[in-house]
Amino acid sequence: MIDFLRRIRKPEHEWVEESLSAYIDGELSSQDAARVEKHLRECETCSQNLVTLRQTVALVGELSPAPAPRSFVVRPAAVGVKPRPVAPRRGYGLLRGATALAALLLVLLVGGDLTLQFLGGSRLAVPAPPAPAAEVALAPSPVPSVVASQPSEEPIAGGAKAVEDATLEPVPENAQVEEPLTTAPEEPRGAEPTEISEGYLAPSPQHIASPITRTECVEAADTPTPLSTPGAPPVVEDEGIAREPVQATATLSPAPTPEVVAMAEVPSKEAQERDQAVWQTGIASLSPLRLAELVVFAILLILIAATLLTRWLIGRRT
Amino acid sequence: MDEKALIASAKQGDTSAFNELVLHYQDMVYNLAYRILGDADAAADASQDTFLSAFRAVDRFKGGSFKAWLLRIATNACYDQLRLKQRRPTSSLEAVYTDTDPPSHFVNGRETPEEHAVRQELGQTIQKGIDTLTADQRVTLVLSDVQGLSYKEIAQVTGVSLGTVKSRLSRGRASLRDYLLVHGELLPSRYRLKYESEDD
Repeated sequence: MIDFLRRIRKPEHEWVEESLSAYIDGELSSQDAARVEKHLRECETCSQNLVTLRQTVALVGELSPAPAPRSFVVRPAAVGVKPRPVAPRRGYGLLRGATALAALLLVLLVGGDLTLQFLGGSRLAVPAPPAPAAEVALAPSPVPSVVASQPSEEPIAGGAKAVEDATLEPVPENAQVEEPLTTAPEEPRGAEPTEISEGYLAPSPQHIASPITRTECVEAADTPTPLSTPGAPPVVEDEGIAREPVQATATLSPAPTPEVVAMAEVPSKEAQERDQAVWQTGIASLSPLRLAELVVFAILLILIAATLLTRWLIGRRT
Repeated sequence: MDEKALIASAKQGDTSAFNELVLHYQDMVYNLAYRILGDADAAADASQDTFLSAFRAVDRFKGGSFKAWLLRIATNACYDQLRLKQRRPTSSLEAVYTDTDPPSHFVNGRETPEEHAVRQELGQTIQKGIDTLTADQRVTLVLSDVQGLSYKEIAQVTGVSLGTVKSRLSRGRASLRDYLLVHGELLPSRYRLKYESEDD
């Protein structure tokens, strides 16, 4: 309808000129095509225009196709579909968090260990005088100072007696004193008490100086150290410690008699129980701590390596 | 290539399936963009935008001709680039460097270097003529005479009526013819526009 109105208003020549393009493409109705052809026979200009228009269309059709200079494939990251990148990034975040956590844990463990060592070093001198029975049981054990210190108490006590009786006696003689006090047949191992004494004396070097210092140590054990006072268990230990030397001093004699042995055995069993308790607490408080430090340190190293590797992989992918 | 299956997979977010479609249509899309925009970089940008937009909208593709649907997105991307170009026109120096037709291969292997050079020159002349058209005329002429779409398909792609397509194409062709009549004198005689009387 609109076309019809336009056709009425427009001059024939103008209408044909505008319709030539559609005429070339065969997009005109048969009626309009006939009208164009009629005009073309009468109008030279429109005929010439038809020729040049056909040539123009043909030339455009001859244009070389412009091939894509590169690939336009869609990358998942560019369109928000990122199933693969998300996993490493989330994993990377977790790894970083875990590494930080492990580092913090290691710092806490080392700090705790140092604190316990500092407090435990002075406190270990307090439960010094336990029974000799523990000495035999604990001597072969590789566990350090805490355990080793306790067995050395009895030889020290014996040494103290010997000092009181006569002159300064060497360490091996303390071992000989031990022999009658302990019931186990394999106890009289001469070298062990020496090692144990060394182990005991390790935390406080001044105690290694001479048997006299050992007696001082025993005396010090009788009077509680300020560091040992706060807790209830040390008080109990002090009581035991206080009791034990009293009994020991009662048996002061150059040659121990069977009564002495019998008297010594009774407190040694109690002391053994105490030793075991101390041993267990020592193991529980220190050795696992060291073990935990090592484990956490190893985990931390692994986590650092994994974090760096993941970071490198992400950087490489992006 | 099972286009329907690839489209179905692409709708599920399968980029590899969609990229098979990209590889199949990227030359067509780039060629359309290059002829409309007359600039290689802008055509590459428009092509990339076309496929990104197509992937994001593929779940809304309701069937029919995927090619026409893709060409519609490409045409819109070209309009965006043209608007961008109007806001930020290229300098004359840039125009000098981009004033070449894309490299083409020798036709059928029988084309001599001279013929190849002439055809390159013809391509540049025609492209310059296309660049003188309005955006709507350019799009319509390229869709018709370069891509070979029918009037109905052009109307679908551009979203205008058949009458508008006819009008835009007629004016576009007429303008290009006038340009070539003036600027095509340096071309070999067989590429020159001639009236019927000159042939005799």
